[in-house]
Amino acid sequence: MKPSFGYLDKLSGGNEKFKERIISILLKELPTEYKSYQNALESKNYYWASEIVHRIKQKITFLEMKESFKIADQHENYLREGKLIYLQEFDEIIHKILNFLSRTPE
Amino acid sequence: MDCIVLDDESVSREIVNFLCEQEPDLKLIGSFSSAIEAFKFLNVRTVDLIFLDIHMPGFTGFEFIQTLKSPPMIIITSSDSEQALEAFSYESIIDFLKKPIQPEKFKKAIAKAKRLQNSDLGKSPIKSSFSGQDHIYINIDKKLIKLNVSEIQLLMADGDYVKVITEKTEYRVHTTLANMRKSLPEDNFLRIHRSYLINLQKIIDIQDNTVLIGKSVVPISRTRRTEFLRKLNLI
Repeated sequence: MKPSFGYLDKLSGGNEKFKERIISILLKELPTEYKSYQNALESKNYYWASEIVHRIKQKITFLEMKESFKIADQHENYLREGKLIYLQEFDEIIHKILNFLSRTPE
Repeated sequence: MDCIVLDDESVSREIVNFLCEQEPDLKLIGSFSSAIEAFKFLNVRTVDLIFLDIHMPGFTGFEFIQTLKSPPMIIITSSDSEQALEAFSYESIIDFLKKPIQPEKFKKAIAKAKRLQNSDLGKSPIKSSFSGQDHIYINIDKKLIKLNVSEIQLLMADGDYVKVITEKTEYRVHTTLANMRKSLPEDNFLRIHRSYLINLQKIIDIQDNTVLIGKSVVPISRTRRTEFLRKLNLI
């Protein structure tokens, strides 16, 4: 469940500029999306929360976190039904990613 | 080959952009996060290929395809493989790439697009099943319902909705008659009144200024009468 740059390394083929651009987008967008997700939950707009999870879920795929992707996928589907079963697990995934990205050298 | 990408997720767009840069025959001429932006672009430019995400807020990729009269080749990019099956019911969709997109799969999809472009299929715009003849999809409560075009009797404007009346039932779709008309074959469907679009094949009889279709009596507006009669001679 640890994030990895394996996919980005393979994709970029050594193009460090490209890899840095992707990481900077992730670092910029993920906290904003996570905040929007929390706001959606607070206002009980679970459908909107599920839409944000869907977007974040794609970012999870770029970091090769297969198990986390499955949890996010289930969380997205449950949110659509108004169920909050995977709240904690999803939060842990986000924090793990943010932690990982923030430790990446500029 | 001119192409665009439509995806609400920015990293996905960047990745498609990067992969396109590796292909000498591909020229990415637009990158859009919303269907509306892409529509505006496609109103003034034609493209050979669209990389299209399915799950987008407000307007799904499938709905986007339905609104294109002559869709170019489309490669679906999605993190959900469940949509793959539905994707292949659209003639314009030539491949499905699951996210994260693997470079070798991207290359294969592009090779396929090139082959199709060089074949007879690629020389003329590919018609999707929607701008073709046999069926359309309508969006009811976030579900896409497949309707055989031949079963549609008529469509009636109803405020912000359109009532689609088929042989068996009727549906209320949040759209306009003008939009629905774009999805239906011009040879068979004609607007005979500001509020009515009819399937000419379903006419039972014509009396003065009305047409009987199924159990519905539909008025023919004076301004559209000539076109209506001319069209009937072509059937």
